[in-house]
Amino acid sequence: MPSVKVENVTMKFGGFTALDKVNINVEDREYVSIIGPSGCGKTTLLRIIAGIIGDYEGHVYVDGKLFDAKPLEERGIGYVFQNIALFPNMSVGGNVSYSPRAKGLSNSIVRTTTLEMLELMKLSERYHDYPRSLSGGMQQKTALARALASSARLLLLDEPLSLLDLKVRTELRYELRRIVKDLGLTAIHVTHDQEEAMAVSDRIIVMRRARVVEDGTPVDLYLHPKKIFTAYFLGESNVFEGNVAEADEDTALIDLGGLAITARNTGFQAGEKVIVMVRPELIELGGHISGRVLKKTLEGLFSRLILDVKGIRMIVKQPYSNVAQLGEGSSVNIRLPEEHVLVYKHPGRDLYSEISLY
Amino acid sequence: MPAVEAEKTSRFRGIGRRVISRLDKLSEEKTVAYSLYLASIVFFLGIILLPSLLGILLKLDTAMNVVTNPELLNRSFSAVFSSIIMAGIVSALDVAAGLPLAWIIARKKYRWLNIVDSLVDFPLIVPTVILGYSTLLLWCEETPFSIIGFTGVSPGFITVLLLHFAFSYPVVVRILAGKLMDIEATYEAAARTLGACPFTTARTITIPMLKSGIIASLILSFARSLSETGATIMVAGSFENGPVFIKKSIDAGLVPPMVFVSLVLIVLSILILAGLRLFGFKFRMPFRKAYRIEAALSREGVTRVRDLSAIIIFLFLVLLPACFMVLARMPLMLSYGLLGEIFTLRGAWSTYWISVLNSYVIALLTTLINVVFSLPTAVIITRRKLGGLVSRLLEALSTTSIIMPSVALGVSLSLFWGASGISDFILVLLAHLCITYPYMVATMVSVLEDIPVELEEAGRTLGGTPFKVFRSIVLPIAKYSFLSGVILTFTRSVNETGATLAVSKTFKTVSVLLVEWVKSPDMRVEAGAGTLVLMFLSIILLVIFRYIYTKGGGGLA
Amino acid sequence: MPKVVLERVSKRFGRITALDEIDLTLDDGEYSCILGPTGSGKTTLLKIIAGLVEPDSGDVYIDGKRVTGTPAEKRNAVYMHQNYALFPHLTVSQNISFGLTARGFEEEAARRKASEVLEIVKLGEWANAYPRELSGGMQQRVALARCLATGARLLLLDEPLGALDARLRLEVRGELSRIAEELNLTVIHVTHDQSEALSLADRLILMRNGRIVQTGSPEEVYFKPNSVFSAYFVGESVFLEGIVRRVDGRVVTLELRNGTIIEALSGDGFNRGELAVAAVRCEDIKVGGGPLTARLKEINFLGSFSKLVFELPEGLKITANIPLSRFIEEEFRIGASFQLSIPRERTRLFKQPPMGLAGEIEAV
Repeated sequence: MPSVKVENVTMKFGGFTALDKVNINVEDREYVSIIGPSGCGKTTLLRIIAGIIGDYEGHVYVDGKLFDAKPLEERGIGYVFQNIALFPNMSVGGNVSYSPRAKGLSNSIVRTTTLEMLELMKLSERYHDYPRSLSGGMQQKTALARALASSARLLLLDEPLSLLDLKVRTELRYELRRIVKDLGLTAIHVTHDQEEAMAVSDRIIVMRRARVVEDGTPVDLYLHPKKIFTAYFLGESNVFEGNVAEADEDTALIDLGGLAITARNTGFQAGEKVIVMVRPELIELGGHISGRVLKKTLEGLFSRLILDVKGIRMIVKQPYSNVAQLGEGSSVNIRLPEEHVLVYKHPGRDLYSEISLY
Repeated sequence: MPAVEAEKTSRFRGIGRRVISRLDKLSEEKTVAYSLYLASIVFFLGIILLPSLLGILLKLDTAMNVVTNPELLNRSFSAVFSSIIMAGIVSALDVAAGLPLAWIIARKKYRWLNIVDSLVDFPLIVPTVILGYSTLLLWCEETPFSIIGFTGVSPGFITVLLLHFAFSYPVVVRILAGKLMDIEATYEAAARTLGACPFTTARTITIPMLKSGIIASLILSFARSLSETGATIMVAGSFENGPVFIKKSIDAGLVPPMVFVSLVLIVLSILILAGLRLFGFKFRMPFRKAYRIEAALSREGVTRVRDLSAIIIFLFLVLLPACFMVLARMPLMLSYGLLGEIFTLRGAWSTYWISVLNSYVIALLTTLINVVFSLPTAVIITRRKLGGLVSRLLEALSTTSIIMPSVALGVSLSLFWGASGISDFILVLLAHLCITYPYMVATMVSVLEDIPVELEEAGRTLGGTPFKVFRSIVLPIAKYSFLSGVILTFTRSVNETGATLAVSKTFKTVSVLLVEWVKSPDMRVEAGAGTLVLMFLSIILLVIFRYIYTKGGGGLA
Repeated sequence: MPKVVLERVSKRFGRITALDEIDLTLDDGEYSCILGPTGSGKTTLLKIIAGLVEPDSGDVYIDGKRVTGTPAEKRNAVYMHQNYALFPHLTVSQNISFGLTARGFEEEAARRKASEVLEIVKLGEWANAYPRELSGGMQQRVALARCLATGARLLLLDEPLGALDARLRLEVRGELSRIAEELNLTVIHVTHDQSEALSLADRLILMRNGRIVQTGSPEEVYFKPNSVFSAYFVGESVFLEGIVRRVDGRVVTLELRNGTIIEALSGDGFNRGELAVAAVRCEDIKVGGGPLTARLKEINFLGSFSKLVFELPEGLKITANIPLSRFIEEEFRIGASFQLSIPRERTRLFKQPPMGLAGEIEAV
């Protein structure tokens, strides 16, 4: 059963370091996403696991076996490409049956596997159609069927949904997870879309600038990120620089420059320079902190308010009905629940370089 | 003093700016653009298409002379047959031998590939007649190679085959390598991850996706083999294909065989090429299974042997013939002290230098006129300025003249224009225009197709007039590939023999002169020296071409 | 002032009707978003306004002037391509001054203006770089700066954020609305991302199959969708098919196919026995306390909110979206039983679509 272990992998393209001593572990039947801004090395890592890129330092083990020298076609991996890469010279049926044929299976097995996979993806009626006559969503479903027909137990997904329309994308991602779980596969899914990663995966690995930042379940990473970059990258957040004004065993009073807020203390001393993060949707209405609405927009479930709180710009998200009567210029009172105020050690450098997406 | 000069330059700049802004204004008028398009279409029909066909069609009645003469008819048919067989074998061999080398160039990453890559273009620059003479020397005369297999074999079928293979091979490799680079690597990676070994991947994915390139290569090498005349005559010996037969009968003062053979060749090759286009694109090889042997063929040892043989074939059958002439004649030339004589402008050498001058003047004019008229044509084709139908029609018609035997094209032109009593110089120019036009249009079309329409749209919506967008966006981006097209047209014109021989009696280009020299026994050494000089000039062009080509690679990255 | 009016604009490409008699009026200074799935005709519409595509019939007016047939460079409307279409052979600064020299600025003045605009998009240090040396986000800002520099007051943006990473998209969204507001531009922005359209637009134009389905402020379209498609494409809704059992004034009672009874408020005339589709926003479904008993099948944690998929008898599925605070406070266990209610004042009722419900809401 496929577990994946990447050990100290370093990859350089000319002078550019794409991966810098990366270690990851993926358990059998686990659905893991790798996320990060573009250029962080996530796709390179996936291609190294697949064997598309060689010439790296370090080792890749699948199922405990060393894979470094194994040719691409013998790895037993299903790979789904961002640009879909359906063979334009073959019909849907031809594409899906490609792998069983290439492996020299008997005609009857080729046929049953192909039909089974098309059935699974609800594409049976499209057997004779050519890729160009399909919509983007159907093309990617065909590509998935093609990868699954190889009877691979390990699925590598390289931004599989990013070229699709938003509505199609959100529907397909649940289908993807359902199929991986139903068939008991191991999946590694690379994406830049944090919502997609949270929706599909058991565990998320966050990468930035050729390195792994941290990993964890979607809930852990979203609610208790260990690194400020994770907090910033995964969902929207309010990030402030501040100084610890007072600190005791349980709580810390943090001065954000004109505004002081209370947080649970996790070992900070008075006078220390810190970074504070609060999720916009965890800021509550009706407290002692007053602010002015600069802008209000609708986002669906939430309305998004941009507030000016004593010169500090703060994003607050509340269900529409709670803020229906507020408009630009209205004043509003808010509360930052201390259990949701996360405090991080200041990196020393400026905050922007710590969280910038480049 | 400097102030005056500065004023002068600024005045010139001012004039330049005024001219440009005037053109900018003009280009806003739709009528201006459309009259430009109209002019280019009139040029194409009136100068290129109709004269090359009408000359033959006007003499259609004389073809009956051939039909009624059994001996002539027999010879004609056997010549046509030889032409088609030769072209078929050459194009098949070209693709079979060219594909592995194209593959190496497109897919492998070795340092020395750069050298191979530039050497591939070398035979393109060497005049075809020189290649012919070189072939003759290498395989049939006093060289170690003639011992290997061809001692005693009279120049004929095999030498023509070797010659045609050598001159069409570079183009085929270029086309295939270019198309291979265009195929995204993910398709191959996808097939590999699905369990196909490299050989199976190539058979089932890459080669089917390469189909348009393979068909284009077949068409081009087929047409080139069918139409090449000058060098073929030189090496043909007893072998007689269409162009050789036409040339022989023209020399004997007979026009009817030319009309007849040309017509049959044109009709047959149009049928063959149309069939190739039609069925070639429909042809599919369904993927039934992967064979054991494919895995074996994918092994590293086997692929090494394959790569090595591709390179050996290129070196010995293409590159060596291209430069053998000069190598072989070098000692003789030195001992005769000919190299010094060349620049004395005495006797034969004054004729030589005049012919070189003639060639370059013709090539320059040909290139200029073709640029002016083929550029709007290419715009019409790629940007669908006059609707999709006109585009497709124009694109198909513009390639017609490449399948005409060049000597037949020449005769047709001289028949068409002959009555008007225009000079040989103009006739040669017209012939060269006809021959290079298809290549020029094809180059321009591919250049323009590579430029995303969005860039032009962006330019327009930012406020640029059509002319401003063309000169400040399209041209600068395309300039390198555009220039390389220009140089190719130029060298093609310098190297042309068949049509030039046919249209001109007194006016000689350097290629024609070299053919004459090579043929007369006592001028052979001079022919070698003349070739050497011409090759030097060509190498200079090649260097410029390479420079531009590599620069062009970074243009759109 | 750039006010854009389209009158009965139609466009066909071969057999495909890209636009079918579009009538549209966009006011000066408005930020409009044209929203729709791939192939709905939104890009064609934008290109017709820009003058890059000529309509087969109908007229376009900008500032009250008929511009049908006027070439793109004379419309004073500037179009930004989805992939930016930066000129690869020109530096950032040259790219930006292109539109200025084209409009007759002297070189020096054009360069000065270019560096001014570069400051607006915060790329001052990159003036001499070539586009390929910039990241995707920076290229996007250069493209925007190039449009702004022309001084055109009408900005036509085709999926301007489409090529950016998801997280970066959020950042740039804010920038875009700030710049449009500060420079008082009229913007028409094409997108398939409904949350982008909701958060940016003053006016939202929803398109499908070459026609306009609905226009209005984001609130109007979100809270008062005029069709099943509109409720489906903007925001997330649960759709319930059923038969009208009772009509009592505005209150319509609907029986779903598993026998569940729900109520909706509707002004339209529904008749007993008629087929109808009820649409409810996923966040309007009340979890805990209500007449419907459902089993929790799936929890999808999405950060700021979570999706709970419930199953009613006979496999009928209902998705409820709950905010993060609720997810933290309460423990949701898969398999547990919950009481749900569907508030009737938040339920919209639509006639059964002619192609069936699936025909309206099938994305893939």
